[in-house]
Amino acid sequence: MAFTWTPRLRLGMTISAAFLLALLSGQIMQSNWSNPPIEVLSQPPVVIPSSPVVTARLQIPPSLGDRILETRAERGVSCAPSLELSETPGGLLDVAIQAACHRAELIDVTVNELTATVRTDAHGQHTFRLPALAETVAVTVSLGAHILTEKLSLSQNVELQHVILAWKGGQIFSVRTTTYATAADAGRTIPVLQTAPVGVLTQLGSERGHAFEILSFPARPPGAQGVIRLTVEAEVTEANCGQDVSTLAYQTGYSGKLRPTEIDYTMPGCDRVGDIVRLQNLFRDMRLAAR
Amino acid sequence: MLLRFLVSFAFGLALPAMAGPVVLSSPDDAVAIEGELLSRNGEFFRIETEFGPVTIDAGGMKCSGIGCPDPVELITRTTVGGPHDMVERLFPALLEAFSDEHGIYPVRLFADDQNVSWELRELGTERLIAVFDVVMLDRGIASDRLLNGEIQLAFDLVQAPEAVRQDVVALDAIVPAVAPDNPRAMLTLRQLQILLRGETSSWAQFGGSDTQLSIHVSAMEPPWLPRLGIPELAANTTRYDDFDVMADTVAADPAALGLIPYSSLGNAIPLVVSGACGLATPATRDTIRAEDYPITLPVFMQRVGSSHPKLLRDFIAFARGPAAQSTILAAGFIDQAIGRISFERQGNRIANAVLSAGEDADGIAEVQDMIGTLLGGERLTLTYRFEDGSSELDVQSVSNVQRLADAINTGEFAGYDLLFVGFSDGAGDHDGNLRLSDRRARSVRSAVAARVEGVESELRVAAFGELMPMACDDTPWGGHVNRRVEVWIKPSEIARRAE
Repeated sequence: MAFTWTPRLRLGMTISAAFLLALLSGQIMQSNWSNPPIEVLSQPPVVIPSSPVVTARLQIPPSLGDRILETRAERGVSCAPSLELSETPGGLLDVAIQAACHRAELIDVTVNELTATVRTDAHGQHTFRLPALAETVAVTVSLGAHILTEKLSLSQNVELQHVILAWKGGQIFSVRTTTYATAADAGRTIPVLQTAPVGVLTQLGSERGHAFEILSFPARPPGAQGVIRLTVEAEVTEANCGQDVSTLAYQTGYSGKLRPTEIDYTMPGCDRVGDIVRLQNLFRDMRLAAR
Repeated sequence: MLLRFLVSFAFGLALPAMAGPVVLSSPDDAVAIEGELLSRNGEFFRIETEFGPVTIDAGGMKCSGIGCPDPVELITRTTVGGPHDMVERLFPALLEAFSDEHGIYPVRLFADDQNVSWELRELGTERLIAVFDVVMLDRGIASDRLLNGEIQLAFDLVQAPEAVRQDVVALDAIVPAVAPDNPRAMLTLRQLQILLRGETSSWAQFGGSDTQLSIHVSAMEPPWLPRLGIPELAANTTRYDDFDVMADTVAADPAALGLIPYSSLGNAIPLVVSGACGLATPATRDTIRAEDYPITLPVFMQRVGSSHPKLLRDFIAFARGPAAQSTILAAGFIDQAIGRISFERQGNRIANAVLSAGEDADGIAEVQDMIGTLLGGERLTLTYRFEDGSSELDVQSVSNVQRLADAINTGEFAGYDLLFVGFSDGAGDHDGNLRLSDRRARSVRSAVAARVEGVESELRVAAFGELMPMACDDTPWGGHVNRRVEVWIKPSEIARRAE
């Protein structure tokens, strides 16, 4: 941290952290992470819909109330920025940025190797939640001359596997899941195909800077096995047709580490505006547990 | 991307070098060789010295002098080819694990579905040290490309001609499989034959739905079909080069029956096939490693010649070695690590032997002798089996000769006696079968012994003819599984006490 703790500031931060945690725990209950996202369907076998799995979207928690800030401003709290990381059960990381002198500004936040450009609110705050991508997470926030860095080692080892797309400017590629895992009932007699969403999508960033999206799956969802096939799609638009597009992708490898792919793709020509291009081999299948 | 391919295709040719003197020296400067650089092939330098021209593996050596190539030219460039599941699943898994062991950071470069390459950089310095270009090929043509020099390393299920060096790098198996909402979990071999031969047009005969049955198999010529007792497949058989497409098609159609590689089952559900006598062996890691499951397939890693750059040689050694086994398993293939199956876990087989001994006193005495021999021991998952109608070891077993010798040489079985136990199928009389199984056990033992250095472990032989069948003898499938040499280990102390 780049500033000294005063007792008053510590009290203020404790209150805001507690408030934030309360807000966040409310959030967890609504998100897909509270229950295992795999739902084992009962007999009879279910017909699979042909559309891809719709993934749930994590909501970024609302910013803190005005009152706390106003009180702090009245008490003359400096504009020294702060960055707080906290762990939330389920392998999630909460990030709270407080930059009173950077109100409604675009700032770059880097989480391990991923960067997102986010806008602080009218009080110079921004909070978000995302799956922790490694056992130790390092977050860096650039605020003009101030660079804040915090690290957090997670106490819980949650076996999640991720696919990530990271880009700058507008989003061109997005991930689709095209098959479902197989869920077996307790007696393993009649397995049925999964229709419930099995992944959770987290997006962060802005069109005016860096952005990324993370699609996360449990590595060993109870009672499920098989593979989820992943394709990446891009729509050919007036803006991107014929262009060379560079972007980054990551996927959890077989050893559990995130592995990078640099994408250097030439979009089809402008006579194909409106077409959807599909990349089958960019990501490997997500394999759920061993048979 | 095009440039990258042009460069890598040039690999394997001797590149003319800028004429000029060079000095190649070892990192500690203890050894140095001086001369005129004549040509270069990867890390192999041909140098005109005072003793005449010599070829030197310059991997790891320092080069000084005006004739030295630009360091950029020393980057190892390799083209890796094979079918989709091999180059997009098995190869990346091995490359990533290899990189982790060697302080290398792999980055995959993706231009489109057909143009993928890998850059390996040194951790910390970010120095580029190798580029691997991936070429996706139809099954069975990798060895042609190797011989033409278009690729340097290939992964395939298809055996290459003799000019290509190949190693069994993983195992796989062909498994009958159905959709998750097909309620069947087991079939008899007879039922499977009826379905595959097209003698019925739906599952209705076996209590299933009466929708049109469809058959799905690999486009590869399946050499194991005769073993299933199927001369020809049904007319409505679809063949696939991409196993993932096959698995998805089967998983989506409740009336489909596929013969799918275990590594590519995807969301299809494997069926257990039982013989007429009731014996059944499901496809599992242990049964595939032990070849107790009847249709196992070796996965080959192939290359031509031996003058590969050091990094590629290291990669090949890694892929064949013990450190790669867990990665191979994680990628969905079956590894070749030598597992141990305790005597207690083989109750079914023992019970079967006791039952098939009948009332005959001699038979019972022999079963008692067998149990006495094996009791207190563990069976290794590595087993030796033979080509159909031949006394030649099959491909997986040939690879297992070296594998077992390597394990003995590294002391994995120090303090144990190894017992090569021969078994036969049930055809012919018992005495003949005893002699046959004894001969097979002895020939496997001598093949292994020839590769063992020193005598850390004693290698013994036993034979019991048709005493402990693993599958029904009434089909080629069962006969193949039953003709085998198992390997058992027993702590030497216990083995001595029993004598």
